[in-house]
Amino acid sequence: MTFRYALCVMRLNELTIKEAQELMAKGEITSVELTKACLERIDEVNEKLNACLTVCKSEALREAEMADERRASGEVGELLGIPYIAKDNILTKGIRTTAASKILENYIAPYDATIIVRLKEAGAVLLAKANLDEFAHGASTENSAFGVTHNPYDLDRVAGGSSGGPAAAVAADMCIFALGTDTGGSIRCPASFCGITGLKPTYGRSSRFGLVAMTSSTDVPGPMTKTVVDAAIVQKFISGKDKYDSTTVDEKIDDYGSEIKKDIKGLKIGIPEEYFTEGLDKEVAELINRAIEKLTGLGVEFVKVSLPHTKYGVPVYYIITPSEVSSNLARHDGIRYGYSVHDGAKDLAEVYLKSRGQGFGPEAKRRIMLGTYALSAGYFDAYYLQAQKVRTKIKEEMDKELEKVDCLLTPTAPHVAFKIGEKAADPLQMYLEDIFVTGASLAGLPAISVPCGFANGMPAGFQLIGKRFDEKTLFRIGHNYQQATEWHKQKPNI
Amino acid sequence: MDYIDQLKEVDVTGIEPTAQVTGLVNAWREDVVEYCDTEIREAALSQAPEIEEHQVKVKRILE
Repeated sequence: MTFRYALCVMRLNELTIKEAQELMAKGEITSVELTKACLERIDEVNEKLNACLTVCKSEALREAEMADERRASGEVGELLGIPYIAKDNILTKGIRTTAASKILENYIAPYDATIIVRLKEAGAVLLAKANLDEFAHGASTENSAFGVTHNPYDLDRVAGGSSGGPAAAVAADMCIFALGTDTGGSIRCPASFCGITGLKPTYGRSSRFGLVAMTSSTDVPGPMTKTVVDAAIVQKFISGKDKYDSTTVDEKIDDYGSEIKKDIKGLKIGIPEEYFTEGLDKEVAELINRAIEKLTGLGVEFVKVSLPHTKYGVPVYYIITPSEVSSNLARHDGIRYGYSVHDGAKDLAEVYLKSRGQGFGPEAKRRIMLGTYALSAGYFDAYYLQAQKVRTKIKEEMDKELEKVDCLLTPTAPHVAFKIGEKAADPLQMYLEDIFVTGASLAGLPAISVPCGFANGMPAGFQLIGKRFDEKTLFRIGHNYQQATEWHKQKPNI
Repeated sequence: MDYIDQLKEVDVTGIEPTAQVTGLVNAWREDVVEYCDTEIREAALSQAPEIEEHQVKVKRILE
């Protein structure tokens, strides 16, 4: 009886993957009930948050019914019947994928991304496609062609970016979990701003096939969840080699479920001094220090390490990223798919110019211009090649320091979510948002953001950066921290 | 550009550029035609603004 009572108080959409799965396994709830609760919540709050761009209600209910049938026939599975939301730069067969760009406003992919296929096979239920900065270019979702996503903790503030839609949706319980993509912080920054857990896996750990390509050498999809346990569950399903993505690595996928149960006594975490200097908000620094104290209490030993090339992360990123972006966006030409000014154009060149001129937003155009400039014959050595060499130094330096410790701990972002419009006028200010997150991206290392408290009512997270393919240690530390704290259980009042 | 120019102060003598981080080498496969069913083919083609005889039509390139 007490259990039923608890269900009445707690709405189903507020459940974690683990909780929902246990209730479905016991026959207490069905996937259809869970899916309906999420869809009702989307109806209730999406107008305020603008987190979802497309809601696929009828498809979701059909998938939920199928999941219930699979369960009735004896199937079990950790994601069977669990409703989720995917960032709208992940291709979904038959359901619109816009990348939050006018140029793909009506694009319907003829196939699913590999990670969507894997979740479908596991029986997860796709509810909606979520907002992002156009083509994932940004740290605030203000670059979306379809309007900014609002932070559930304060509607006047950004949700972070570029995966702002999925982060806001998880924080506001519009779904049980979400899929994001991270190129230079795009999962971790919004996870920190919205008070949720977000993992950027090792580059090559989860398939990029079917993502709208941004920076092919750093793009990687990962889970955005309510707990570290949930992130580990989702990551298990989306990990592994994919014959359609030749950069995926055939590396052992650890049994995260049993790894995270281990305690963390005697683990050694490095604190890179370069991440605790100018620009780090005092109150956020205080939250990070308290997280360090908490982990110390759990038996972790902290040591100082030095990553002197940290400050070059952002300039390297903003050469390499626009360079790859300018090349990857060349495919949007108004010929085969997407927005096209076809009628009335006198020749092919005019189709290209008008389709791209009208279809791309300002930030995409800025990056195409920066990228083509950095790659042009006269400047290639000075910019692109130099950036790639400095990238080598950043990568080697991080790998070397990580040999001495189990992982690194840093703030995820220098401050809490900022006001909408506060930084939009100055692209360089916006680029500097990425200061603590570009390192792991350029080096291809796994990194997780875990909520660790509130400053002025807004959530903040710490970041753990791990060794290549060592997601399990990040999960283990994050889970032990969440066992000892309540920050991940806080809910916005919306 | 001034901000980006700080990269020039880093000594990169003898440093190889990093284009990828996995350490993987080329993944080859046989160059064979894979069957793609009509439904997917039509779904892909239907995204183009102008189609003629199951092919995407483009404007003239030469005068």
